[in-house]
Amino acid sequence: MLDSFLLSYSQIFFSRDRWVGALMFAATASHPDLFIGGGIAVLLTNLFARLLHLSGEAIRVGMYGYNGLLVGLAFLYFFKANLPLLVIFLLAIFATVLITAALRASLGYYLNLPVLTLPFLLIIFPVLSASPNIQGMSSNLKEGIISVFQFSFPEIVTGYLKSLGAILFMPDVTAGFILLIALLLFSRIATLLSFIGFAIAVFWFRWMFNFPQEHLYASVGFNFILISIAMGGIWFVPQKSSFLLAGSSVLFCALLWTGSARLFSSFGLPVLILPFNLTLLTFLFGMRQRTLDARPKSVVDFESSGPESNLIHYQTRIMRFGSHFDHPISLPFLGIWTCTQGSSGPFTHQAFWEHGFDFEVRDPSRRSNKKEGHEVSNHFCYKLPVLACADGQVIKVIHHIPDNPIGEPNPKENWGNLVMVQHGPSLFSLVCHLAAGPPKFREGDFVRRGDIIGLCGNSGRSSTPHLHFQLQNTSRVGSPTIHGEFHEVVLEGEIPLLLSAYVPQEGDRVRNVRRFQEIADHFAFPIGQNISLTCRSGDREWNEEVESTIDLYGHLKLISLTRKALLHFEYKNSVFTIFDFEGCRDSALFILYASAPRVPYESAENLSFYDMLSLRSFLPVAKRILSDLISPFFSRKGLRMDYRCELKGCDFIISGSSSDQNPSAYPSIETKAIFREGRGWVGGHLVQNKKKVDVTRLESEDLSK
Amino acid sequence: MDQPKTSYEKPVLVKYQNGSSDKFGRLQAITPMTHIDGWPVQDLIEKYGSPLFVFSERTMVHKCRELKELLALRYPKFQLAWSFKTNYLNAICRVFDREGSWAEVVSEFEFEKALRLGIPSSRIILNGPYKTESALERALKGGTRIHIDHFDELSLLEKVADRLGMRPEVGIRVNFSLSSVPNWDRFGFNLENGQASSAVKRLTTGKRLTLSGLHCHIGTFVLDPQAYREATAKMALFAKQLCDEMGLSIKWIDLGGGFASTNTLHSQYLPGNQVTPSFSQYVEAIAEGLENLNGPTSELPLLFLETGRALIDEAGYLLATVQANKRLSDGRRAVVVDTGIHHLITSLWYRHEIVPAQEFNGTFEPTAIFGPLCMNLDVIRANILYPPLKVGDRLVIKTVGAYNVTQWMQFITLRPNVVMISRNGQCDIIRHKETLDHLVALEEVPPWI
Repeated sequence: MLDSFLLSYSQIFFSRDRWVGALMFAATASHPDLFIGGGIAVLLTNLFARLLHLSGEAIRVGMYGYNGLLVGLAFLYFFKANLPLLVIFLLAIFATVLITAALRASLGYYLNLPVLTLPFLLIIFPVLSASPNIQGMSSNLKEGIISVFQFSFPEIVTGYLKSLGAILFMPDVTAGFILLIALLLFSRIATLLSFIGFAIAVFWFRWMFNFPQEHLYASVGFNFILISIAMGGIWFVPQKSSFLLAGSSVLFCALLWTGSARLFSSFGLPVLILPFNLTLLTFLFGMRQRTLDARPKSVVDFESSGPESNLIHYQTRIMRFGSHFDHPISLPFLGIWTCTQGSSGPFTHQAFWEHGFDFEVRDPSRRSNKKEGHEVSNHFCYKLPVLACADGQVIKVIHHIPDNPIGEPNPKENWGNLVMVQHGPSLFSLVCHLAAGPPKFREGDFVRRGDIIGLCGNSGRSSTPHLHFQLQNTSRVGSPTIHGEFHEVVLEGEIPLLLSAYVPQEGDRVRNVRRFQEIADHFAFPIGQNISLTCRSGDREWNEEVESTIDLYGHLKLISLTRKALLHFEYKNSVFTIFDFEGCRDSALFILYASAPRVPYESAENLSFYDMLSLRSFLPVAKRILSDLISPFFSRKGLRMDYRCELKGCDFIISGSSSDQNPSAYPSIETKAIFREGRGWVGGHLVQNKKKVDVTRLESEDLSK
Repeated sequence: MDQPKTSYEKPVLVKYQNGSSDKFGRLQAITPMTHIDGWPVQDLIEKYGSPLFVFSERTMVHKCRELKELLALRYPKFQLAWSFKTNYLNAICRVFDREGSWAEVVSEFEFEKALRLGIPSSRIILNGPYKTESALERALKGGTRIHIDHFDELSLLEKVADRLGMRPEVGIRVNFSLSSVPNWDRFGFNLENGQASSAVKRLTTGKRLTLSGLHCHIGTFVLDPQAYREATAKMALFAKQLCDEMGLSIKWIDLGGGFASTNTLHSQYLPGNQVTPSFSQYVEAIAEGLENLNGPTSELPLLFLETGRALIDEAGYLLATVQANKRLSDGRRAVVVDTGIHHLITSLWYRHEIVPAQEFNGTFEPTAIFGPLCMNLDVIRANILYPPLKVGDRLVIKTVGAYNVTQWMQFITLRPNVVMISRNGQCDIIRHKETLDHLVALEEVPPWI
């Protein structure tokens, strides 16, 4: 209830933070009519939405409320309060709810686009047009609103603050100032974007158009502020390129405003926030048609809770799982193979085809064939299974070309026998030079990661049996390759190293991480289960209750019921992964996140792996705010932690320590996590700069006492 | 300077054979083995006494990883289980445990030993024709995989499961005839005569157990890899048949052990190191057999191998010291060493390769190598072409890692030290030599004597 009220305010800034909402609500207090009217509008909107049995979660996060709020504020801003107004007001609020619901279903469902403030515009334009003809409705516009404080700021600063205030129909410095604080509280990056967006618009108008600035601030400026925030940090990951996109969208928005203002003024209507809506929808939809989603990376696969978290999410994903993090690719074979030609290899992996990989099997003495004979069958890799590198659909199979004798490649049928699998809208994998024989899968079949799709052979342009693998953007055999990297790969050596993303180099001995059920059995977080923990730090001791849940989208979460903290986790094929930690660092969940962010279900001797933790979580508050402001422009490394795992009886123990880095910039961390067979996480510890926090799971016997 | 005095030996006539090649064109050369994994044999004996069992961790790890890497190239889900009866010294079991092997035990005592080593019961496989009720109960409680050997055990297991109020997943052992190895039909249920199918029906209609696994063990020292292809294919087809006809999903297939080491059987004409199939030949055969499963990768059963001998035999050495030289009545040279058949039961099965631990010279002649027992059967090699040895010379008996330190016995002499050389060259005792105190500690003399 409280959430649905406050978040209706914060949604205006794309935020879902209660405090931001509360501050924005407070900002309207300088205008008592807006304060009360806006509040009533939000309450009514949410009430109507509830009575109509619309999605409770959408109401809770303010998806209906913010349009109602704008409608309410606009009514009080444009008209004098009286009885006829009240009737139309109620009608308008009710219609807003319905229009929002209709747009959410159509725009949202079919085009995956946001509703934005279109419902507000669809209501307010007809009302404004009709108002002269409606008995008793009289305009409020002539009365200027007098600011409480009079500061002597430079014009551009007051202009900015007024524009900010005008978002809630309060084009004055005081309201703008409070809203600025709310925006700062929500996001430092968004604030920066709002400055930039406004500044660009001001200079654009001064340079291009002869235009009264005062008008610009009062009723137009917020378009540029909002579009800049939305493009630069909300729907795209804040990066240099997203700032560029934000800048260009501001300019487009300005053009759109200039054009439509003339048109609209002929009807006697203000343009309001229409340019923002149109610009955002066209830019967003257009940008989503790219075959390569990068620079700027769009925010599609996670719930946005602001530019900072978008950025952290993206940076940690890249840092931890590489650039193909949304389509993880496994090695296309079983066991340990040797990469004989990597990306930009000296033989054939050149020009358009540079991102190809050749693999063979080598014995410990690095031979690839048995000593006697020169038959293809003497090669270790010959007729070994070739696997699908990820789930997908088989779209091309060739299986009739005979194997070449050793040393006699067949350049006529360059790729030989092959299987191409489509894994995503523009992601295709190709394995070739396979052995001839009946295909395991036919074109159109669906395959799962790890399914055997062929056998290694020596067909096509291949002089000795080997496997060629490449990723491409399109479905044509032999189209240009794209950057390929493999996920959860073990690089064999004295110390086998598990890498979350790796581009094999020539000479590397690599394999997929293996899944051992007996180790997977250690990672049990049954949904709905409550875990009772006791934490100890120095002489401080507290109990914590953690619940394992799943949300509407199928994301697994651990939520601390005692402290405000949650983490997202997943059991992948062969790795337990914690994605993000949110909330209070004094939670046992933070220790889990730091001690076991990623654990393979494998305990080969000496197997080591590392992970990057979000450095931000370990910084004090002041440093965190500073780092937020500069983070879009510098790809900063996270905190690297090295881990070893060990199976000891029924316990699987993961110990970690931060790598030897500059101690002034990076804290020194040591961690330990213990998982017990059939029971799951039973405890661990985190030592940061010699301060140790222990966490132990309470036995069920302890609970009954 | 005094010349060292050479001892007198009665002259004999010997056919000169040194350096001549045999019928395969190989030189019959014996190369002395002076070091084991970097440790001089002489030093080992001086430090730990003679005789002495030496295990090489490096060889064990190497063999284990070789087998695993080959399996990994061809089949996605497999698991080795260390056959305890092959060698259940704690240190040895620990090495295989660390290498990721499970434990395969065939008695309650072995089961107990595995548990005491800290191996969780869920990572133990309980096999064998005789399993006690208490072992079964323990196994059920801890989630140990049980492979049922006969109908009486099936009934007993149902009784125990019923008592515990659980419906465990179990496997049955099956046997079948193969073209190249004799049928070990004394273990498990026969496939051809329908016994295995009746066992499955009996088990499923009993509704107290769930059939999830199949086990077989086709024999020991199987020199023909094709036998594994045949056996694996039979197992796979049986699993498929159970799935198609009865809707049972077989979650694991255990092919037992039986891979040969490079030892040479008494009955074998060619030396073992020439004819023993490589791991890759066995694995290839098994993978071909498994193709009969023909299911999606995610639903393939877990493959267990209980390989023992082939992983440990080459890692074990027995060091001995020459005690005496003799001439037998037929003119053969005979050597008496300080270790015999009581330490080396496998000399009943194999012609062990024995090499001197020091440089030698002299004429090769047919030689018998006898142990120290005052028993006629104590023969390590009845007839081997060998150079002359001096009293005090050291010998290295190779490929003795399997079955000896489990089947050895205290008889006439006491059992010696066992050491292991680690991969980084450290040597430690893993079983102390027995003393008279150990021996008499369990004895009682009743007061009425």
